[in-house]
Amino acid sequence: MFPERIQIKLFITEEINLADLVSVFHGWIQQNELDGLVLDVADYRHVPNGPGLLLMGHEGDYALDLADGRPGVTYKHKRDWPAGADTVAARLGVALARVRRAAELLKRDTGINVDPARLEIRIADRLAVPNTAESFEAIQQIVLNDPQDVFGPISAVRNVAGDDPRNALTIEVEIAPVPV
Amino acid sequence: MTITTWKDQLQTAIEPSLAEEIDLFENQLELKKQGKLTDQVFGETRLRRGAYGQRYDNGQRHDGIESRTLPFPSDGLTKGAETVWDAPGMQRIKIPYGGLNPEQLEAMAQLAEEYSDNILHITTRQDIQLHFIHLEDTPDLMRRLGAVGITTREACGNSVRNICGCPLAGVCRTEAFDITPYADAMTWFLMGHDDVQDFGRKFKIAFSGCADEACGLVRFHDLGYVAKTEIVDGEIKRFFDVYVGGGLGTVPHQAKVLAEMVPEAEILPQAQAVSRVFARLGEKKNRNRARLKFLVAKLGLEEFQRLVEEERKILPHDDRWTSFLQDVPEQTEVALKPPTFLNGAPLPEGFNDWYATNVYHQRQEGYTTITIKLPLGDISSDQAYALADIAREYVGESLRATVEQNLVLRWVSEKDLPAVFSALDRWGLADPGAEKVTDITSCPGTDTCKLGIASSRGLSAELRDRLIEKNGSLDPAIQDLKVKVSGCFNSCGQHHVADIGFFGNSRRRENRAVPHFQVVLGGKWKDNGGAYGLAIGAVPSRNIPAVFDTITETYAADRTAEETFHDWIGRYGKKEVRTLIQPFMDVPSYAEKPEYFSDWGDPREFTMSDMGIGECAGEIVSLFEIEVARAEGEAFDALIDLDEGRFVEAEAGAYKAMILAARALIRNQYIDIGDDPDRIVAEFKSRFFDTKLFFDRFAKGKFGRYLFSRHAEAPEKIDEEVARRRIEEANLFIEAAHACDAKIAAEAGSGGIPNLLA
Repeated sequence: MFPERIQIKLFITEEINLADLVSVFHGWIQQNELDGLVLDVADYRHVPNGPGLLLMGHEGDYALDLADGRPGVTYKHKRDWPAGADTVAARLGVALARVRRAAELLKRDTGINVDPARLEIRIADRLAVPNTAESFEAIQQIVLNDPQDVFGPISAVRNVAGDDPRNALTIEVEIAPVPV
Repeated sequence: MTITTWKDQLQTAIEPSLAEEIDLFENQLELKKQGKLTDQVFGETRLRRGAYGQRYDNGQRHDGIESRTLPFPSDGLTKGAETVWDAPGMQRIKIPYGGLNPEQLEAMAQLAEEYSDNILHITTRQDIQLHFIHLEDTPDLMRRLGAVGITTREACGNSVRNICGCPLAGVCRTEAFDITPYADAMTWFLMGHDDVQDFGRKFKIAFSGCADEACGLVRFHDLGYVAKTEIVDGEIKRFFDVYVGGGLGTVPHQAKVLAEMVPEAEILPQAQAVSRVFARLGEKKNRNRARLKFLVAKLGLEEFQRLVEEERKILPHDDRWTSFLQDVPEQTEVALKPPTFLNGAPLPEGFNDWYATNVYHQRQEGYTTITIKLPLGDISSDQAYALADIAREYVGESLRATVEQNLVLRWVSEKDLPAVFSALDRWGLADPGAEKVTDITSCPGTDTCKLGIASSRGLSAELRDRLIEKNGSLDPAIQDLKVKVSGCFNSCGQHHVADIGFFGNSRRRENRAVPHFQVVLGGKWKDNGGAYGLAIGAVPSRNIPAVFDTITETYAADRTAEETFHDWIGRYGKKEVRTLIQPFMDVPSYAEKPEYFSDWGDPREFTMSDMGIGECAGEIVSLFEIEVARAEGEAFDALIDLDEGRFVEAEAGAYKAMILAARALIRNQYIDIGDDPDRIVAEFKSRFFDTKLFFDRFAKGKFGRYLFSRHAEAPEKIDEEVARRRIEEANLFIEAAHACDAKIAAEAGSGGIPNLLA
């Protein structure tokens, strides 16, 4: 079980207007703000609950994604993992760092916040990680026992892909509030 | 054993010969990486497997500030001429006659999710395309398609492309008979056939169940079939009228009748004979003259018919010509549910609007075909899974993609319509207005296509949003219009057969490129694409919505009862329509309205073919713009002559327009060129053609040759078709002159070729 394609989504609970973000995304390309080689903007605002607005890249894609009617910032790594990303935990860490960077930029440029209390991991790699109870258990253990503690204090992990084998394994992680 | 590859996983699921082909393709990828295949050979190999190039795959992209090199890690490795190995590409997936089942839809949804951008894009030829695919993912992608009975073989390249067919075949109320088994037999007979491997260009085939509707669009295909029946000896026998040599592209050609009433048993050998003649005599060197339409035009229809008949006589017999006929059923599909009728049960909100436009009553009583209207032809993976579930629950196997970039569900029992509507609505798939004015067809344009000049999808989305907003108040005559948009002159959006079509081009103002669209009016969707519209004038992209409103409102107000848009254009006159759009043709200054210098949906400053205009080189006195306006005026007058039946004058005017456009370019460098056509052509050739300045990046010298060919020899006989074609050529020549002028200006700005008037 060693997935190539890992996506992490940070949810947005406030109103967003994707039309306003087209220029923002182009600006991120112009200013080389994101990790990885980012190529172009793909606009799917017209597709209900679809992939939204994407920044297509070589190693991975960033998006303001509308899937499931739950908007969020996503990063999906696809290929050419950086050196050292040779465990699933390390790969989750890379993906999380990149999506958090996108979320920071979003906050900086638009004021939009992501929900710090939850995130979603989607492993769109049905060969390495089919949507089975065994896969969920394995990924859950990796998330819960991550030595780098990249997610912070986890309060719950659950499979949100159901038991439909055609779905990609999708896990929602709840993060406990950090005491101030 | 642990499964580690899709190849292992699907070993027994793929038909062995297909598995072998994919293995071979994967080996070719490896050989290319090792430098053992040339770009040319590998490029065609990959295209024949449907793995296409995509915008920016030359490793250059203008980001709105400057053109930058995209630092792909490929290290010089290419997958074709000027095509970087690591640059994402498009995978075209052949869906013969658009027919697919839920399992296949799900497989493609998974592929879109894993390898692409979560979107399945339906094309105007009933294919499905996935974008942003890495070449090295394609063998596995093909295996996973192969496991559900889909091949990408010969989806692109110089081969027989996806065979189109009416999506209502078998359920249509006006068809002669169901063309599905014939389209299916033709697909598998020609795929990989020895006689279709040596074409100079692509070859497109379509089937239609009748002559009057549009569904198969037979009249703009290389080879087209219209179903007919006749009673012979008291029995109903099946035949086809066979059309040949049609095509859209830059200069559209209407197909001609190759043979009428061809018996069903003859269509495969006849197609094989046509293929042999095309392979043997078709142009191979100049790809711009290599489609079958040029061969038919060159030989003349009669000679082409004779050659096909001769070839047919000497073909070695093949059992496959007729073996499929034993299995041709009366009906290709079986309904999942018994026929029923709407029974007065309460209807969900929105149902009536949807029912009025998206539901077709099949000839089988109690059944309907419903159209799922997909904006810009896009469906997400999640929607595709949901649709597969809905199909399984209500119809079983029966889905088809349409040439209007939608999907249809066939054999829906009428009583189930409210439930199907509600199920679709939950997934955003119950948009009303299928095949109406809000259902705009668009090619990918500058979003992903290397050839795109302007944003066809951006414009289509903008028009669509505006029309939906006022759909309730639109005149019914406007609601029925067909609107189709292409990003360039190549007509993938099928703008020629729309009531109102647009194709992308560019103009220059203040040394900046401005996205424009040519307005194409008077096409005919019915009668299998029965007439082609002509360009009326180029309008800045930002003004297209206003032009659309002006034309459609004038039509609604001026039309006589039942007058179609096509007929109205004929009556109202292109000259008057040109007067309508004239106020919208000017470009305001950059300081006044900078938005005119970017395209719909793309805030970057517009560039032509992603070529930078460069930093401000000072204001250029554009003699060209003044001079080329004369050429445009001449071309438009030719159009009026054509409309009014003065074909000789129209042809001559179009030729003169090309001379004037060439002169406009020359005058920017050599002001005393004079008016002698011989001298103008000679100077144009040496200054712009031989230097390749006039060359389009992809069409190369095609447009220049229009002038040389006409200048060298005036046609002996001039009829409507000749005149119409010359006008198309003149318009394209003028477009190329604009592009050439922009290129020269850009190079002058970057210290390249000097502009003597700068």
